[in-house]
Amino acid sequence: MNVKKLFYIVSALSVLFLVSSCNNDIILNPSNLGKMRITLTQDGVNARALIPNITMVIHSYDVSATGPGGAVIPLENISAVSPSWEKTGIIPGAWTVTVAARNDSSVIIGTGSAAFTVAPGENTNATVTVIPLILPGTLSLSVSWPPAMVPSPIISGTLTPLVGSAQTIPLTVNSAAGSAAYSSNALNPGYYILNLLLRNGATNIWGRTETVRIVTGGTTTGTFTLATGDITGGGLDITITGTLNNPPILAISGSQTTLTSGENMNLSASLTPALSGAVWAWYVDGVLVTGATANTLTIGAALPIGMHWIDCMAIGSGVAASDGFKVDVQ
Amino acid sequence: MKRILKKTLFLLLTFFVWTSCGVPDQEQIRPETGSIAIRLQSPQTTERTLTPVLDTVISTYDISGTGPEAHLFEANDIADTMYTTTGLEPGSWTITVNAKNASGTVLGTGSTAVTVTRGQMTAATITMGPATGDGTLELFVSWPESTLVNPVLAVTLTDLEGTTITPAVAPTVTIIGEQASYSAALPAGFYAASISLNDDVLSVWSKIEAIRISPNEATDGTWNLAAQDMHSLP
Repeated sequence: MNVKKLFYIVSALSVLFLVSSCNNDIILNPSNLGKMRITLTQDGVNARALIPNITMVIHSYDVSATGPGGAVIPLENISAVSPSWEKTGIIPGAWTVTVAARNDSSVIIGTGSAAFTVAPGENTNATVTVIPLILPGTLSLSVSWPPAMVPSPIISGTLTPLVGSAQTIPLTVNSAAGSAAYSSNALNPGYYILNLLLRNGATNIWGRTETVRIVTGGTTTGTFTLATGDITGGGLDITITGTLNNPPILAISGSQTTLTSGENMNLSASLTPALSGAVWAWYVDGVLVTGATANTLTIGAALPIGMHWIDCMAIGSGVAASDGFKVDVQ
Repeated sequence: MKRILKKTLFLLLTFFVWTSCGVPDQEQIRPETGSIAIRLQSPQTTERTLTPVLDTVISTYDISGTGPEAHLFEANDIADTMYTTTGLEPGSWTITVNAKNASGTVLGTGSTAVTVTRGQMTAATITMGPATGDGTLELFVSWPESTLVNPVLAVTLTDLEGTTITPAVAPTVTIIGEQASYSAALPAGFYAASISLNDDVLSVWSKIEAIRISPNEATDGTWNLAAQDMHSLP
């Protein structure tokens, strides 16, 4: 053995010694590896409210982890029936577990993650809480009512997050159809208090307060179909009839301004509009012409020379009308 | 040459004067003139029913209601004869309607009692009639100077049933010079007025008029009589 070979042997032994002496005994000593048990829980994912049109029941979890030195535990899908994940042979150190909750349609409805340290040779328990996704969702509302009961509909609505201030939601009203609608696809996931108020003019006739839940990628629909009985109080259909008793216009035809003594003129009176059951009377110089109860009168021959005022009056249906003229008998 | 010039000027001047003056031939070619006869008639040839100067076309309605526990509703300036309201407190309501013209004058009114039931539409018909209240009748008669010695204006009012009406407050009759006026407050409605101008006890002019009185409105009648309008003069 020459010196050169002896050097290599000593060097190799030294390296072997150093490797076996360092902390990195993960590979060399399996009994020093750790174990982790992850319990999965959820916060608000399965809560009940005005729910979106996707199932919010967690059906399974996608679980994966990253550890020290770029260690990776590939994604595994576990059933929500037994929401725990246990792994052994874990390299001690800092780990981060990431979880995505899926419903029975494999739609991700919540996520969560947790960081913890795995100690060598020990069992490490950790809990990952899954919360609903924070991406926009859609709210679609429709309200309908009997149009005849709400001739002047005004509907207002507000959406108030559990933390934050109320925002007005602009509902589009169709008065003729008796409906209003609102839709937005830009609402942050979470819970809201929805307030709706329907008025007829200035009168409140219906109101509703609902808890609304918005979920990422989902559409929360609220449909409120009001029947007559749902509207507060009662309604009146008022019809106005009647008459102001405006008098008809009485017009005399056949009148003359002058008559030769002994000459007659044939008078005829008419009413516009006609007056049912009118009673007629004729007057000469303010004196009733006896027997003249029709709308026609022949007069003149018996009038003395001079100016005379001839009037006709009709009475009926609570009104009266008159017309008159003067005639000069020469 | 000078002489010729003078003769020429003379002839021109003569022609100018001749053409400027009327001549019998020209008179003959003028068109014949016509004549018109204008007969002026008294504007009082005819008299129609005396009514207030009032727009009697309904423009809008004011609708109000008084319900249980002093609940109220009000809807003004409704243009239609149909009106629907909801959200009323169930119970007995009295609904009142006022019909107005374009100026806001109340022309007609009506009311009805109705029971409102929760969750139901109740039909109510309000039959409206002319507005009630007092108006005034103002009559004026004038006559030519010195035609009457002791003028007297007599007005008799009867209702549509022919019953003589005595105004609650005695009418005011004023005669100053050749003018007489009559003023009376009357409930809204129709009347027949017999108006007579007398000289002492002798009737010199009289006529009959149908009269309409509307609340808070004046119904006017004016007769400016000429001597020939009076059928009997002393």
